[in-house]
Parts: sequence; C-alpha cells; structure tokens
Amino acid sequence: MTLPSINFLAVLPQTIVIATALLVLLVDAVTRSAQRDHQILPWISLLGLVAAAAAAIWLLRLGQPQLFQQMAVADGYSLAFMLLILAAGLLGVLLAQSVIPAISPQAGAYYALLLLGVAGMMFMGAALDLLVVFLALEIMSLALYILVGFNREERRSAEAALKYFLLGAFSSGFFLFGVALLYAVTGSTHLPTIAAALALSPAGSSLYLTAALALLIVGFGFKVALVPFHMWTPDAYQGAPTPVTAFMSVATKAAAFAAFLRVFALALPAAQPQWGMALAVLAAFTMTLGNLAALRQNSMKRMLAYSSIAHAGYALVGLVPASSQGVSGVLFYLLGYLFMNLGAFAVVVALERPGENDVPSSRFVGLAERQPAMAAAMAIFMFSLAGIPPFAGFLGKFFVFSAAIQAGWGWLVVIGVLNSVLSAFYYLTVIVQMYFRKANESHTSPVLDGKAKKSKVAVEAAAASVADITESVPLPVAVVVLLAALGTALVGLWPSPWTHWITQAVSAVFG
Amino acid sequence: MSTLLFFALAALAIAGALGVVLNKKPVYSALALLLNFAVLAVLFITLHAQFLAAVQVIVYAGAIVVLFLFVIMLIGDSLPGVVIRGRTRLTLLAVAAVAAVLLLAGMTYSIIGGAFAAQSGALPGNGSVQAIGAALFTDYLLPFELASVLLLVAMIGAVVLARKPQQ
Repeated sequence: MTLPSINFLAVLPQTIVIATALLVLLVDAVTRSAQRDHQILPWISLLGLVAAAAAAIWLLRLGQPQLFQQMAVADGYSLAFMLLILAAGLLGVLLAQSVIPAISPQAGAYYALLLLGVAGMMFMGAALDLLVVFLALEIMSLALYILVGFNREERRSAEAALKYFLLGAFSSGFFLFGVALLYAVTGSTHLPTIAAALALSPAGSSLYLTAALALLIVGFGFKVALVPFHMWTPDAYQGAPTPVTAFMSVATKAAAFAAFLRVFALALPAAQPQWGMALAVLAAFTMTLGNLAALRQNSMKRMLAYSSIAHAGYALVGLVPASSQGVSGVLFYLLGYLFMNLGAFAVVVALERPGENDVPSSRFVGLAERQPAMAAAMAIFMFSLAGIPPFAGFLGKFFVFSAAIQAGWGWLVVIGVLNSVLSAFYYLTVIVQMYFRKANESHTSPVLDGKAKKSKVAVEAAAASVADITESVPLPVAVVVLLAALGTALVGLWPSPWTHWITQAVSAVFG
Repeated sequence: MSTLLFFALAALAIAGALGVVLNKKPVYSALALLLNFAVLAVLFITLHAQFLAAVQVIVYAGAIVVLFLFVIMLIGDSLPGVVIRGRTRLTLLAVAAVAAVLLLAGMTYSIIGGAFAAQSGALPGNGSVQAIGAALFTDYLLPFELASVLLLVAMIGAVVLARKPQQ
C-alpha cells in the first residue's frame, strides 16, 4: 500500500472555514458568557470567512484547477460558488450579531454551526463524487435543521425545525437511493466516470437510469424547494430566526444548485432528453404556484418564502437545456438573488421589534416617511426581485431565459415571463405601501371597551408611533442592508466584469 | 456446498423475517429480527464481505435491535393499541401486499435482466477489514473526513437542543 499524494490546496478555503468553526467553539468554551465576551465570536467568524474568501480568490488567480484526489476540485466553477456562499455567510454572521444574543445564550454554537454549514455548502459545489455530494448535503442540512430551531423560546421555531428535519431526512433518503441506482447503472460514483459510462451506452438500462434520475431530482428538489417538494419552505422560513432565514434562503439555494448543476449538466448530459422535460415541467409549476401563493400572504417572511420558491423555478429554467450558457445564467442569477433576497430579509430583521420573529406586511405602510433609507433599500430589493431593470434580478432572468430560448424551450420562457408579471404585483404592492400610503391609516387602535381607556390607548399608540420613528436599527443590520443594496445595484448596473468572470469559469468546466 | 449453504441460510433468513411479521408479541418480533440480521451477516461472509458482516452484527444486530428492545421494554409489549383489527388491518395488509409484490417484481427483473453494471459481491480480499481500511484512508480520505465533520455538527446540534430553554 502506498500513501496517496494529497493536494490540500484543493480544499484550502473549506479547511479554513472548518478551522474557524473549531476556533469559535474553543473560544466560546474558555470565555465566560457573563462577561459579554461573546461579542468576539462573530468577529472571529467574519475573519475566518474573509480568510477563506481570500484563499478562494488566490486559488482562482492560480488558474489551474486543483484536484483533491478524485473527490473534490477547486476550479473556476466551484470557486465562484464558494465566493457566493462565503458572501452569504458573511452577511449572515453580520445579521445574526445583534439578534442571536437576545434569543439564545449559545452564541458559540450558533456561529460554529453556521460556519460548518457554510463549509458543507462549499463542498457541494466542489464535489466530484456523489459520496462527497451526499456528505456535504448532510453537513449543510444538519447544521440548518439546528439553526432553524435555534430559538428555544419560540414554539414556531421548534415546529419549523421538526418539519424541516423530517422532510429533509426523507429527501436525503431519496437522494441516496438515486445515487445507489446510478452506481448500479454506471458502476461508479465519480461524476466524470459516470458521464463517460453514459456517453458510451446512453440507451442501456434506461429503466434504472430513469428511476435514478427521478430520485435525484426529488432529492435536489427538496433542497432548492421546487413544487411539489416545497411544503417545508414557508413554515421553516417563517419559524426560523430571521437571520437564519436570510442566510439559508440564499446560501442553501446556491449550494444545492451548485451540486444540482454539476451532477446534471456535467455527469448526466447524455441523459438530458430524459430529464430535460421533467425539469421544465417542475420549473413551470414551481414558478406559477410559488407566485400564486405569495400573492396571498400577510406575513412578510411567508411572502418572501413563497417568492423564493418561485425564484428557484426561474433558476431551474437555466438548467433545463444543460448548456454552458444556461449554467452561467444560473450562476449569475444566484449572484443577484444572493444580494436582493438576503437584503429583503435583512430589512425584515431591521423592522422586527424586540421579541418578534416576523413582520406583518402592514408595517411597511408609510415606511418611506419613517425610515427613508430603509424604504429605499427595500424598494431596490423589490424592484430587483420583480425583475425590473436596471437591477440584478432583471439581468439574471434575462440570461437564464435567453439560454433556454436558444435551446428551443420557448414555451417555458413564456411561462417564466408571465410569472414575472404576476410576481411584480406583490412586490410592487410593498413599494406602494411604503411610498404612497400614510402611516396613520394603518394604526387602527386596538379594540378596547370603555371610553375611559380610550385616551390611554391614544397615548400608547402615539408613543408606539414615536418609537417607530426613532426605532434605531442596529449598525451591523444596517451595514448588511447597505451592502446588499449596493450589490443588487452594482451587479445590475455594471454586469460586464461579473458575466465575464462567470462565463470564463463555467466554460472552463462545462466546455 | 456453497449453494447448499446459501439455501439453508436463505431459508433461515426468511424464517426470521416471517417471525418478525407473524409474531404477536413485539419482543419475539425483535428477537426474530435479530435472527434475520445474524443470518444476513453469515451470507455476507459467504460473499467475501467480512467487514460488512462485522458491521451488520455490530450496528444492526447489536445497536439497533437493542434499541428496539429498549423501546419495547419501556412502553410495555401489551398495549391495547398494538394489535390493529378490522378494516384498517385489511387496508394495511393490502398496502403491504402491493409493496411486497412491487419489490419482488423489481428485484426479479433486475436479477434476470442483468442490467446492473456494478458487479454483485466483492472480489475475494476486497471485502476484508484491511482492504476497506486501506480504501478509506487513501482514496476515500475526503468522505471519511467529511463524515467526521458531519458527526461534529450532529454533536453540537445535540448540545444545543438538549439544553433547557431559559425560563
């Protein structure tokens, strides 16, 4: 037996993140929480994430894809997704900093789980073997199950975590079964080997292949929340502490799509005739049902949850043709989605009052008068989510849809465009509420019997609205909103460096 | 000789499986399951998969059946709700029968059709503890390390969830 030569460079960014998580746990163990020393933990996490991003950029500069045996790779594609996920992690840590101490004394565990989840997500894009995909998927999911249920005081949080866990564990079973069947058909779990085996005999043993594809689609469909595998999404997003929702809504989606794209477009392109139509139908249903459900929500978090389902549908359109153009489209889409969706959830965090874990959409009424900067940022996110130029969301949709049109999926794009129009309705409602409605219309005084109490109520209402005006947003949250707004605008207004970088990274891998 | 052994073991395994389903007392069912697992372990050995056999005994026969027994002992094995009668029973039987037929048909089709590219059974020597250890620490080093990260996540999660809420 010879010892293998191992190229640790290929997993350098992930290793840094995992090491940071261990450091956070260690520091958490040796400092006393009573001293409020815990404020150091988010800073350690931030440093680790920045260091990992620096390592990823350095690897990107090397230009040479780094292989870790046959298991993982640091190529342009995986590094692009790593940077995306690290950005989501950075913003997630910043958002959590002011919220987590209020809901739980276990800040160390929170940041450690977040970092380990980030590491798992990074491995999903880097994985070259279905075994690694599965383990990374489980690391990510397990960390998120706990984070969703992190608020032990809140019943909804526990319920959301349980639902997410049960359905997620079930979907992992589907995924694993799909991997096993694919192994039975091709004799390998190594993605390039699978691609080669299928290219040789694409028609052979197609029943198993079809079953394997179906099971893999179910597995990934749960993670990116495609209809009809989306049932957990609204409850999990609403019940989870909002910083967790903000982080998971973008990072999980990016990571799951990273693996989804690599497995389907790189290992299974030979079977595209078999899965293309299935994914197209799923995308159509996901967009339509997500948007229709989002129309009827009063809770802001629930609305954004359904909107994120719809966005998974748009992104999936880019995967259907299995072309390198479509894959770059999805990557660009996810880049824009990262900023706009995380930003929208960050505004929700900013508007939450102490002890709250959600914001009714009525609170946005008249926001432009009370907090003009926050309202402006929210308007940018809503415009971008609706896909209105010049923001990132528009370009993302444009790239994804044009890739689909070129491959002849016209009907799917028509459905996508119709859905964008439909979604504009509820996104623009938020903007109308913020800018064109007066705040006092919404302040329906609480129903109380007896006139004697009325004056007291009026005083309280006045005090509440004063509190609204002077409501100070914690600095880190404001920074996240600002960064996300800047990102949304920058990616939309100045897209050429991003598209250049993404196309280069993707075409090097997908040819 | 090995064919004879296979049929004897297979009969024993089926007897164990039937015992799980047909026994009225959950404890007997659990013990029949133990028999089934043990026989499967022997079958693995005949297929040159010694490591799998050991894992089968340690994990399934050891940990899982003991867990089952613990649960059965804790809740008691004579609860009134344990035995289902009437129409529910018929429905469940029908569902189970359909599932069993489907599974049987699928497996027969797979075996007769010979559609699997992966070979069934390990090559002699490939299923030994040594061979698996070597593979685990060379070719499968990354999955091995990732599994340890996964366990770490699970451990932190357990600590978080086991802690009592503040109030």
